[in-house]
Amino acid sequence: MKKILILIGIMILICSPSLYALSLNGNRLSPIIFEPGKKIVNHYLITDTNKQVNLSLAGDLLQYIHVSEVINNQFDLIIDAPQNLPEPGSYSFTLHATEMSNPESSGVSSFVSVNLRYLVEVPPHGKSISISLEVPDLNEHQEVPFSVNVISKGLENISSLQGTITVYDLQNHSMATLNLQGEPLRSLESATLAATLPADTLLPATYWAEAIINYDGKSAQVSDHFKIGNLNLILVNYTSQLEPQFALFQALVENNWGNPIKIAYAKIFINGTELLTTPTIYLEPWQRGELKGILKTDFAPGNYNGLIELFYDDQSRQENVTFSILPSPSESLAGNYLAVAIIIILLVLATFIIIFVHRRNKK
Amino acid sequence: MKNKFTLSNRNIFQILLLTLIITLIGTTVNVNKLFHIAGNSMGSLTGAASTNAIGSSTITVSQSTSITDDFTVIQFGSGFVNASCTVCNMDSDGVITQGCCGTFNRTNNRGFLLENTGNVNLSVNYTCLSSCNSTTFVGGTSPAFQIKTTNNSVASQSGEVGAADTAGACFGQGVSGLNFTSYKDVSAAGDWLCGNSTTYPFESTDTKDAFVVDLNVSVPADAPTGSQKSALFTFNALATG
Repeated sequence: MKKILILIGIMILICSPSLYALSLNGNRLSPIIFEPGKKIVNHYLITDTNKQVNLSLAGDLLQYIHVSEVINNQFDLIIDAPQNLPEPGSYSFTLHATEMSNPESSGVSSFVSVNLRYLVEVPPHGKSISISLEVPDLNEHQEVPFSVNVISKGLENISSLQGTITVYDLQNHSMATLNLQGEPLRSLESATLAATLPADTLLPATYWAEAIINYDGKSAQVSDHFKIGNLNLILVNYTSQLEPQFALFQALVENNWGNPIKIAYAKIFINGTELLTTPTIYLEPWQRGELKGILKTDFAPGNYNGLIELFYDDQSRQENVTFSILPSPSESLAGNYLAVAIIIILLVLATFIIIFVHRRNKK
Repeated sequence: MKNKFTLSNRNIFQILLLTLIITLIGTTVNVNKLFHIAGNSMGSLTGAASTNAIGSSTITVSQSTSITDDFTVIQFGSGFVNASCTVCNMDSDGVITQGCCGTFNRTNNRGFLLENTGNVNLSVNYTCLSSCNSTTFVGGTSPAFQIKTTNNSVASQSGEVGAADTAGACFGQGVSGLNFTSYKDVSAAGDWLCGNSTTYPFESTDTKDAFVVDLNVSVPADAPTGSQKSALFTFNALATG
């Protein structure tokens, strides 16, 4: 019985699928901000392998980075930032964890390694900030909140932080100005400066805002676009050139507010005759969609006055447009043949004239 | 025959009365419990918190960077090229010029199956040790030793640790798939298979986290005989640490 069990065990070992895995478990560190004298210790656990794992480091700043001995499949990555930092900028280094392979093995075999690439930022020695501006797209009759996130990137504290936000329309006319007041900002920390524009200061349209942040004699600026929306369906683009007889019509429309439009469709008219009612579509807030259908275009080639009537929820509006009915391919082909024939006739005539003149001169 | 268990109207009335009493007692107990929960006021029975104690909770999810090779040894076996042929082609995805490959037994003939078994996106490259080109691995006239990758949603190779893939791997971060899906020569320096040193498209989502690395070997009729050659592949997974 014992022999049978041993045999079964051996068979299981032989038949079990070959599988190698390697996992490194630990907290993510990137991006690492190098601060003078700062020590970072990150603990890692190696799992899923029964092989010995070799650790190594490669890349930048290795004089400040090392790994501890692996004990019970655990180790530490230790970063000791010096008091005098290296040149400010972006650096990277990589931790390699590789299964120890047997170079004597024969055949085609494989091993795995796990590598972690760390991004390191060495901050500049003076005062420096990075800023970002957030302003949401809103519906009309709502307050407009502006938020400027300021991150101190330098090694010196900032004693004074203030700024302004100016709102412009798309013709770059100044529409409103807001002041931003902030607290002193410590080195490598962040702060948010906020301001609100009262409701109904801006009419529905697209605007852009510019934030200028002043800090201890320096400044930084950032801009962002935003929309004040209303219940409206904007016609962005449409098929203006239509094939004769039957044509595919497409209209790109945009929901101009921050709520869904549950039903949107269009009716197409040429010379006052309704030619198409498109299927309805649903539009998420601010979403673009396409209204389309097949038109019967029994018109002679040329330009015609057209009308696109847009329906959205319980409202509608009209856009006057011009449609061009294209000549049929056979007509344009016939036109091409005629032009080619005329050119050939002219060339033949010119040749005869040249020969005639040449002979006459000889005589 | 007279039935011994016939119920009289009186018995039925007694049973109904007993049922009514039990129902009333149960209802009373339950209502009392509800009052107790609600602080003796049904009107205050609500999900809203009624105290001002402030609590906080934190959780940190560690990064697990993990790769699994679900099939690690490819054995084309030993054999010879049939006299009627100039070459024997063997592919780990199963293709073989059967009439030419003599006694090559191909005991372990499937591709390396690489699976992202962690919780972060990866990129993957390979390097090779030992006999890593066609001349050293096979030899003879016009040998070949080549490598290619295929999504396991297409290759359907069994053995994934997680669920079998239903979508292509290597499509994260806007990347449009594996770096090469047709054969190219194996080299010692290797190549990026999915992503590169700064882009990590090999996702950890269970349904699209595996691809197969296949090898193709062409053994010419004049390949030198002798000792078994080895090629040791290392698949390197890279992530942001």
